[in-house]
Amino acid sequence: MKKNHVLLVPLALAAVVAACGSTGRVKAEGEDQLVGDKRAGTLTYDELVQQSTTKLVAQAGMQARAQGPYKVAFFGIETKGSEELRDQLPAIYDQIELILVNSGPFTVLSRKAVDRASQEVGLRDFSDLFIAKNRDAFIGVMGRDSNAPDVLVYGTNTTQTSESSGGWFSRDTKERRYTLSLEMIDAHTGTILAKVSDSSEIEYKK
Amino acid sequence: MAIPRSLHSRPRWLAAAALVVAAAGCKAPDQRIAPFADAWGAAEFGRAEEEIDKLVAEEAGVEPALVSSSRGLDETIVPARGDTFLFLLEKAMTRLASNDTDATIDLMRRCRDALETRYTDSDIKGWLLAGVKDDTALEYRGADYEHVLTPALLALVDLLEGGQDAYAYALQVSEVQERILGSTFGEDVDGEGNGYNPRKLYQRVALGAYVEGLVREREGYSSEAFKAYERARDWGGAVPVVVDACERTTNGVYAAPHHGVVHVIRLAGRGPRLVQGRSPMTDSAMFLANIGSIVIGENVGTLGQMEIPVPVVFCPDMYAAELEIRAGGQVLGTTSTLLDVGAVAAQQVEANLPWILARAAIRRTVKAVAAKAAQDAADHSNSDPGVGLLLGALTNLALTIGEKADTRNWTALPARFQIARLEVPEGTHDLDLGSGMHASVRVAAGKDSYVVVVQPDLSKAGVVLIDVYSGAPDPAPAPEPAPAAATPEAPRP
Repeated sequence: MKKNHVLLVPLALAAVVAACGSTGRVKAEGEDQLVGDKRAGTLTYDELVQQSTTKLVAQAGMQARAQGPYKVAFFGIETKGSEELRDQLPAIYDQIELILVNSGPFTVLSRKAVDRASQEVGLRDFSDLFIAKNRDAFIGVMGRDSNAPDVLVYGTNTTQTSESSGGWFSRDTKERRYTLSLEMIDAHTGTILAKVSDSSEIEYKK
Repeated sequence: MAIPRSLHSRPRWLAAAALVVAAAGCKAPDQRIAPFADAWGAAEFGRAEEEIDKLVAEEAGVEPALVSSSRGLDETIVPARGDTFLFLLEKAMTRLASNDTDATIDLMRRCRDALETRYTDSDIKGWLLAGVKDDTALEYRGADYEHVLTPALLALVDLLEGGQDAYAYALQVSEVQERILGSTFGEDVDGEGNGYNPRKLYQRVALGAYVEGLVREREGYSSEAFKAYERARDWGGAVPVVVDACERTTNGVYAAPHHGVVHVIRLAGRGPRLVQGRSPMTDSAMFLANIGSIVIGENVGTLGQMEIPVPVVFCPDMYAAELEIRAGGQVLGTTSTLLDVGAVAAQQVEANLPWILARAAIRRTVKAVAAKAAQDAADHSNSDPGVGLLLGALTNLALTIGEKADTRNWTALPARFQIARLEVPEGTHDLDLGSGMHASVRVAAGKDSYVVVVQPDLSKAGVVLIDVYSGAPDPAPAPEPAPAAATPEAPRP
C-alpha cells in the first residue's frame, strides 16, 4: 500500500507540472484567431489589410499595359492611432505587397531600396510626396538603378475610442474603431489614383 | 532543557516562525538593487548592465548569460514573473545607453504590458488583506508614475527610431494617466462614502502631451498641436519650452524658411530611489485602518501602534541645473525642465502614506490575532501556561520582526526630463552639450531632429543619441597607408 503511495506522488506532481507549464499548439486551418483583450491583434490587422488593399487595387482600376506591370514604391503605414504597430508592421507590409502583386498589374519595388532612396532624398513624411521636387528626386534616385516607380502607395492607421464606466452590474467598457487607409498616387504627377479605407471595431471590457 | 510536548505536537508554528525570521534576513529591495543603481548613477553603464542582468536572471529563473546574449528579450524571460518586469525596465535603460533603441522599445513594451496586468483600481478588500509579512511580499504593482513614464519613454525612444509609433505612445501616456486619475480606489471603502483616494492628489505629467504636440506640429497640424501643448502647459505649469510652443502654434510658424528644428531631450541626473524610513501612526491612517478592519471582518485594535517602516523618496539630483546648448561658441538655447520625476515620486509616495500606514496597522493586528490563536491552542493542549505565552510571543515576534517597507522602484529613471527646442538653418551642426558631450546633427529644412542625452551622473559626460535621420554620416575612412617595404621581423625576446 505504501509503495503505491510512493508511486502516486511523482505522478500527481507530473500532472500538476503538466497543467501549469507553458504549452504550444499548432492551430488548424480556419480555426478562429484570438481577439486581443487590450489591443488589436493579428486578426484585426489581417482583416483590415486584406479588405483595404483589395479595395485599393479595385478602385485604382489599372489595366495591364504593354510596358509590363506598374512599378509600385510602397512607403509604409503611418501610425496615427493610439496603438503602436511595431511588431505588426513587417507582416502588414508583406501582406500589402503580396496582394498588390497577386491581384493587379503591379510589381513592388524592394522596400530596402525605397527606404534607402527616401533617406537619401530626405523624405520623412508621406506629405513630402506631394511636392514635385521631392518626387522627382526620389524617382531620380530609384531610376539610377532602373527602378523608377510608376505609382507610390502609403497608408495611415487611426483609432477612435469611446469609453464608458461600468456600474453595479456592468463592467467598464471601451470601444475602439481601427481604420486602415491606403492611398495610391501617380509618381510623376502626384495625382491621387485611389484612396480607400476599411474599419474594424473591438469592444473591450474590464 | 526538555522541550515541552506541545512544541513537538505543533512544529508548524516553529517552522513558520523560522521561515519568517529567515525571510526577515533577506535583503530589502533597495539593498538588492543598490549595486545596479550605484553603477548606473555613476554612469558606469557596462557595470550597471552586468548587475541588472544578474537580477533579471535571478528573478526570471534563467541563466545570466541568456539575459545578456538575448538583450533581455528571450521568450523564457517572462516579465510578469515576480518582479522581472521591474528589472527589465532598468535593463531597457542600459540598452538605451548602448544606443540599442530597438531592444529598449521591445523591453519597455513588454514591461508596459506586464504593468497593465498589475494595475488595480478595485478590490480594496483583497488589497487590504494581502501581504501577511509586509508589503514586499506582494507582487510589485508599479508606482503610478512608472505606469505613466513607461509609454512616455517609449514615445521619446521611438522618436530616435524615426517616430513611427511615437504618437501612439504619447496618446497612451494620456490614457494611462487619465485611467489612474479617474480611479476611485480607496474612495468608498465601506459603501458609506468613507475612505481616501490618494490619486486625487496627484499632479498630471505634461511629458506625454508635449510629445503629442511635437508630433502634431511637425506634421503641420498647428491647431491640434496647440491643444496638446496647452494641456502640457496646464499640467506642467509655465515651462518656457511649453509656453513658447503654445505661442508658436498660435501666432507663429514652425520654423523660418530653410530652417529645421533640433529637439534636445536630456534625461538628467539620478532619479528617485526609495529607501526605508519610519513613520508614526497618523490619525488619518488610523481612521482608514478602522474602516478597513470593519470591511475585512477583523476586530482590529489600532491603539498603541509602534512606528512603521515606510518608503521614503531619496533623490540626490533633485536640483539638476538646466543644460546650455552651444554651437560655434554661441548659446543656441537652454533646456527647460518638463518633468521633475523626483518631485512626482515624492508627491505620490506622500499621498499614499495614509494607506501604507493603515495597511501596516491592520496587518499587525492580524498578526497579533494569529499569535493569540497560537497561544490559546498551546494553552488548550498544555497545562503549563508558560508554553502558550512563549508560543504566542514567538509567533508575534516572528511575524513582526524584520518588517520592511516596500522600497521597490525603477531606479534608472532620471531626476528630470529637460527639453530644449532649437531652430537652426539646414545643414550639419556640431552641438556642444557640455561636459565634453557633442552631437553632430544633420538638420533638414522644415524637419525635426532629436537628440537624447542620457546623463545620470551630472559631473560626467553621458551618452548622446541622435535619431536615425539626423545622425551625420561618419567621416570617410582615412585612405589605407601605402604598403611599406617589407621589413625583417623583429627578433623575439
